Amino acid sequence: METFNHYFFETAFLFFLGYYLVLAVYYLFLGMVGALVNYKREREAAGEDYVALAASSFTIPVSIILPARNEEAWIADSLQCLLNLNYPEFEIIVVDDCSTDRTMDILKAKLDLEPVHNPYVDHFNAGKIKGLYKSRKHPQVTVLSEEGGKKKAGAVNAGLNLARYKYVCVVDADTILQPDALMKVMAHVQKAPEKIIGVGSYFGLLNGFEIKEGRVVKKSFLRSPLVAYQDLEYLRSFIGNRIAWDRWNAMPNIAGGFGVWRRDILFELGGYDTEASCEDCELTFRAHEYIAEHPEKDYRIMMLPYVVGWTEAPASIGALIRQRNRWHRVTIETTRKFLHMLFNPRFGNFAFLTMPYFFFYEVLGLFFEVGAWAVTIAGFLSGIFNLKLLFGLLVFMNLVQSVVSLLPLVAFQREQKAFSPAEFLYLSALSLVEFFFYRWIILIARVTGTIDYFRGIRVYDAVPRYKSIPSQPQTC
Amino acid sequence: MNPNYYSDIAWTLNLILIAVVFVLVAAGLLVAFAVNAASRRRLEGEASLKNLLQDVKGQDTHTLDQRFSELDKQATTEQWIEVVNEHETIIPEEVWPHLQRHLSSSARMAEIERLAGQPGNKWRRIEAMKCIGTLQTPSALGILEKSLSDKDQDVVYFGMLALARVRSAEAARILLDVLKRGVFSGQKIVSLLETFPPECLPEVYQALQDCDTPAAFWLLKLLSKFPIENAHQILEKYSSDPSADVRAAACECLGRSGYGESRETALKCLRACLRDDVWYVRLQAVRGLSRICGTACLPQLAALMAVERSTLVQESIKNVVIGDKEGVLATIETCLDADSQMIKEWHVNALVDSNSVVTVLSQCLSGEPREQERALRILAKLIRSKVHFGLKETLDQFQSESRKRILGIIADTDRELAARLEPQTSGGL
Repeated sequence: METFNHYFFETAFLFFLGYYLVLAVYYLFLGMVGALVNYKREREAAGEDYVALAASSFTIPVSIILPARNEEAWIADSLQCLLNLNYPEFEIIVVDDCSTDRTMDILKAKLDLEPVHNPYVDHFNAGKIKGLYKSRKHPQVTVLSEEGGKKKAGAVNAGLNLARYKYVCVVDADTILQPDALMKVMAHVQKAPEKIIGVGSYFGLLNGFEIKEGRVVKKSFLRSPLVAYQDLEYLRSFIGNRIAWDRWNAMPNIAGGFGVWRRDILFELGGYDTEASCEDCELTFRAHEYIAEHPEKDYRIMMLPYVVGWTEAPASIGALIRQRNRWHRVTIETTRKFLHMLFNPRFGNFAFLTMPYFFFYEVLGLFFEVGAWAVTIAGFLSGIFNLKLLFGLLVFMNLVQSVVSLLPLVAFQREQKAFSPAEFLYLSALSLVEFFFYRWIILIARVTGTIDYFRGIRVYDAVPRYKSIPSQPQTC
Repeated sequence: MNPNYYSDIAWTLNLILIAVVFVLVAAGLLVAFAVNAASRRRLEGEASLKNLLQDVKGQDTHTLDQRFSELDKQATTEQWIEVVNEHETIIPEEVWPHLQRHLSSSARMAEIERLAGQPGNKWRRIEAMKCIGTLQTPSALGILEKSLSDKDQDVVYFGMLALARVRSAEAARILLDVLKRGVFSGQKIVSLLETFPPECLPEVYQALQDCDTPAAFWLLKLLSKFPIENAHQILEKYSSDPSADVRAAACECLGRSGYGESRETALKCLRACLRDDVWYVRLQAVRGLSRICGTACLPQLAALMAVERSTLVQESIKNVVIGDKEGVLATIETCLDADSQMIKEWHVNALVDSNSVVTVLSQCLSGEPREQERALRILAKLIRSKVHFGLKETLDQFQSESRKRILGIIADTDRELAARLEPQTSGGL
């Protein structure tokens, strides 16, 4: 019996250790590639002639779509930041997705809206519209009021129906864009518009920042550990993973907070899927299918490291768990829907580099993690593993986690120079103990998310807004 | 084997990882401190350079050269490259030509050109390339042209950007050659060429003599941004190109080139393109014709209206009609006599969109005799054509007395219609 126990625990131990080692190597590899790509992109940005780009009549115009549902706290600032954009030609389409708060009142006051009766053709099952308005103050702004019921995807599709330009930029209503956001991203598109069908870029968290008239006027990254851990997580995801995946045209998600798409390709794809729980991830996966169907076109989906904007993060543990629960549910849903791409050579690098990550880490990782803990603790309690091994493993997992966070943090700091020494030290120190605090919150969210997914729960939990709501509608 | 054997391996790995963590944190901190120090140093350097350059403003060439030579001894090549590349924000406008001349003839230039021409640190090379492009040195073109054949796409791209800073006919020729080879996005290249002076246009005409469809399209798009002269032969050729994109771009150019000798050719080509199968070619032809001869082309456009299915082309024609403030009523009056009900409807639409119904009704009451006569004629034709949408809403804008008088005039032509309009208008519809 004792021999069997030893055999079982050793096999299980080696299995889980192998899993973690592969994962660590994968992460470190992505982190290093991400750092190199980050360096290259920064040099490109430093050499780019943005003044000429801003002055050129050949700079590609962009339709910006801003879907908003009950965004009274943010809508004035997010709209103002779009109006502040330094870009030669763009239009803004705000889609009020059946808000029940003062979102529409704020829009009316800010934009001086007048109803128009332009023709509107629904190409994407976007849902019924209640009204169409043009701004008297800002002729480039159109507001579309929707009856709702088709989620964010429906609202974006409604905006797509009105978009006039070759590229569309979809932004979230709680995202404050940097004035040069569009310019930095479109400079890359301009190099190969026939190939680039989608572009995303990094955006950080703005909790605790001071915002005035759509501009971030004061930043501080010395904030609560819960938000600071999300900073690290965003860096890992964008600067570590996505930018590295971009190197092989295998980037899986242009985030809904800021994403640029070629409009004709969105038409070909039938727009955003109103049935999907996660419209942005689902669309990016679908776009990869489309790329595989048209190999001769050499289409690309890009991810850039430039800070294009800032968005609000959950500031309480409960809100964070709810958000990550949903993220996990939608990850399982999307991975399951596109499982046929896994190790399918037709889908190129996406099938061998990104899909395995989604399947083995994002979906099955939870079972590996729980299994590893169960085996380790059981082995220790039954006296088969000694304390040295137990601690060795704990420290190993923690250090891997730290290195995986520190790599993109250092790369980001080197290129973007975003943090002061104190802020960098704070984030580094937090990364050293992430394993003992933040990781457990995320684990709980993943466990509940998995259970909820298999229970068939597909609801969207609105993330609470922490920004104070303006008492009076602002005008500009 | 006892699993505890692996604890030694785990701790060995841990030691390695601790070292990695230490190195990463130290590197990050070093960067954070270095960034602060560098940006402080840079700001101080910039400020002192600005002060120095402010001091030399207005001094003679000899003194300026002396000061620049002193400065040259203090600064490194990298610093000079940075100053040149950002001269618009650092150097006063009136000092820049002197510095440009001084640097171009200084020994420092050889070092910058060496950096720009040699492979090695790619990004340092690119900075140097931008610098020689900005300074427009005699050997810049040769070095930059060579960079366009580099294997590295970044070097090619920034080589193009540097060439765009030279803005000479020779630089244009090189960029046009890149466009014709199709190695880079045409959109990007023409956006660079757009900033070149019109003296470079012969190079564009030359390139258009022999190029493939994508290049022809972008060259024509580029041409449409310039005052075009004596290009009618080549534009005529492209107005019947097999590619619809090229034909549309040619129409756009023809609309801008139809003056002097080119006028007749341009008009002939554009009229032919009104019958094109592709709607956006017809759209550009309409725009081109109206640009050359304004409303004089309306009879031809009216003929097109009878068969046009594209709403965008229809809108474009409507804009031509509405755009002619003086002649809009005369045009509409003529077209209300047309046989085609569709043309009538469409012109009434133009009447409404140009807000001319109010003008017609007002002039019916109190215009100058000739205006009043014409307004009454138009109103009568409008009523007889049975296409009188817009009348009801416009009547609402008049006071009750005026409305009564207008309804009286309408009743002279169509008593039934006047009766139909009365209760609706008085009812405040």
